[in-house]
Amino acid sequence: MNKIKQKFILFLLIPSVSVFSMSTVFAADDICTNNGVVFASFNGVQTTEAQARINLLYLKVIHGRTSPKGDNIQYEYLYNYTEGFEDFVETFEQRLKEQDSIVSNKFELFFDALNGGNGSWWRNLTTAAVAYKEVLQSVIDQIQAQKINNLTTLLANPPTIQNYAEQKGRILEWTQQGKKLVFVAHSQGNLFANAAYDYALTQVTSKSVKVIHIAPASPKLNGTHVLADKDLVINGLRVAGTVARITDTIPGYLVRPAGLNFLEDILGHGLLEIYLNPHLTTSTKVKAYINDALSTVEAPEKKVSDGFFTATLSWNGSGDVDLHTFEPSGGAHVYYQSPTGNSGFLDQDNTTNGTVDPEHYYASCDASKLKLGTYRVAVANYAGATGRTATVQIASANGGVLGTKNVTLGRETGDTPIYSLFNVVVGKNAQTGAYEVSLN
Amino acid sequence: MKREAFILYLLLASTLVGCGGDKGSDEPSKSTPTPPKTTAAIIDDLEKEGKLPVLDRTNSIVGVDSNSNGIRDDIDGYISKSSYTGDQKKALNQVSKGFQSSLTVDITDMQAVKKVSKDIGKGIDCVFSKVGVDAVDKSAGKVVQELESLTTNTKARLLAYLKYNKALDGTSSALTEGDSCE
Repeated sequence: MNKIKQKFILFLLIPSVSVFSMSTVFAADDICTNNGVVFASFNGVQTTEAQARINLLYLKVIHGRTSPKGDNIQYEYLYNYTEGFEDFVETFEQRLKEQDSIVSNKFELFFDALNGGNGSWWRNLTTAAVAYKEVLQSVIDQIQAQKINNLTTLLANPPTIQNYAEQKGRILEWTQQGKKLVFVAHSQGNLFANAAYDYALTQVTSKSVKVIHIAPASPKLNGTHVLADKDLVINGLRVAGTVARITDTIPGYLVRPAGLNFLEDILGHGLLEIYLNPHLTTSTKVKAYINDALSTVEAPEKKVSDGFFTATLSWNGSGDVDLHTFEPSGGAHVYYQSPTGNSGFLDQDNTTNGTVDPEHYYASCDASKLKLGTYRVAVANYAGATGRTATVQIASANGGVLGTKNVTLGRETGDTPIYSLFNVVVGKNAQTGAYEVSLN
Repeated sequence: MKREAFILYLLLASTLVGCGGDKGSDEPSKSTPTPPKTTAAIIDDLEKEGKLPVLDRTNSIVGVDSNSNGIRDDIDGYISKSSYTGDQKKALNQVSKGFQSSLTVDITDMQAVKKVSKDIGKGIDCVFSKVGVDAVDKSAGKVVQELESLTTNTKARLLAYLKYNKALDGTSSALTEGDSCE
């Protein structure tokens, strides 16, 4: 019997999505963290990736390791760059040059200026020579205009999740793993969170995904929101169109206490300076809304398992694409015909449509089963998927997404995976003995 | 304010300070008025007092790293002269090394970009675990942002760093579970 016939018979005998193994191994020598809730943040306008991480770390300090319901919380941030961010470097330089060439080459002042110039360097400058206050104010005026412009442009052309393969793949795996999802968005992040929410609802119901909107740049809301009256960035958007209603009155800049990071924000828009500022009512509301979401969000049906690392394959339409994992040192070849390997399992096969229920491999969390070495992850267009875009994402239990790759599929190759996409290396740290995973 | 007006403003401010005299003395001041400080002198003083950092502003993206430890010498010096403890300085070095590598990573190689992001992320998480967030003068968030700013102190370095950030648009990253310090 040829392989296509084999697969056709298998297709007739079992549902289009086959779940081969549903048991997650959390044995005595479990090396994974078992998280029930994903706390995903979406950053604001003109934020670097490092700053997005810092913001989430502060949220973790506030909300801790476990939810009010006792679930372990997994903290991740879905980073979105602000188009035109780099253009502001030029503006910044010009502003300084116009007024004082001595400081115009000091680009270390750039990020501090973006945050309102409250760091020690700008403070020392403005204290030493009062005229620098005017320089700073001029830069801040430009920043405000630029942020409003960035957000207006984004609002006119909102993002879609289709353009964000990695974030889409991540949300897909979370929903498949039965995770409860809590999205916390600030500023421009609200537009991305809305797109992510819409996508999540193609997989789970609204009971399993909650959104908290902070300083929303979008009038569209999918959950509770907090907006300060003296948020000059959102007020700037209000002039151009509709924004959400104001929820909180905050003190004016001159009498406003410093924020969670001991800094102030003259624009009234910063996450740490304003919305998580423990002296303002905004922080009480944000905390309460997040806690409420963490308490009420419900787990969707669990379809696939967590693993020390996982490989998730989806594709953009009909057809049958297969995930193949070659375990280390000439070990098992794990695919739909042989779903149980030495270290891991193909716990979901999909034979008809890659937009739902992805193919999924997970490596065991049981240290006694997990083999060290290189795992090769590959893809085959088994049948009917020529021209489709297949996406494979590798993620680890303890570190999130390691990599995401797309491939446009050519001719059908049955059980021969001609697209070798990742080499996943599992090792042990020589000093600590901890298991590690990386891409090679 | 145009540059000329700005300089006039500084001169006027300095002159007014010079006219203040000694409030405790009835004797008319016999000293000659202090010449007004130029902006260059003001900056120079701030740098000497340690109120502004003295940094490598060479043309190259990487700057000078004479001991090849992956951290620019001026940032190395900034960290070693700080009042952080040994463990905290180690954490600051870890994140600085990550920031420095972000300037030169091949942004067309997403695997490499994600690796740098993970290294920086582990460094930031380590700083949070060692420095904490409760002290006004030593807060993890502030010091990491300071190191980010020190790394990107020239136009070329800042633009390279923003390109790296742009390459990360649309990615998803997790906070480290467990110890992230090297």
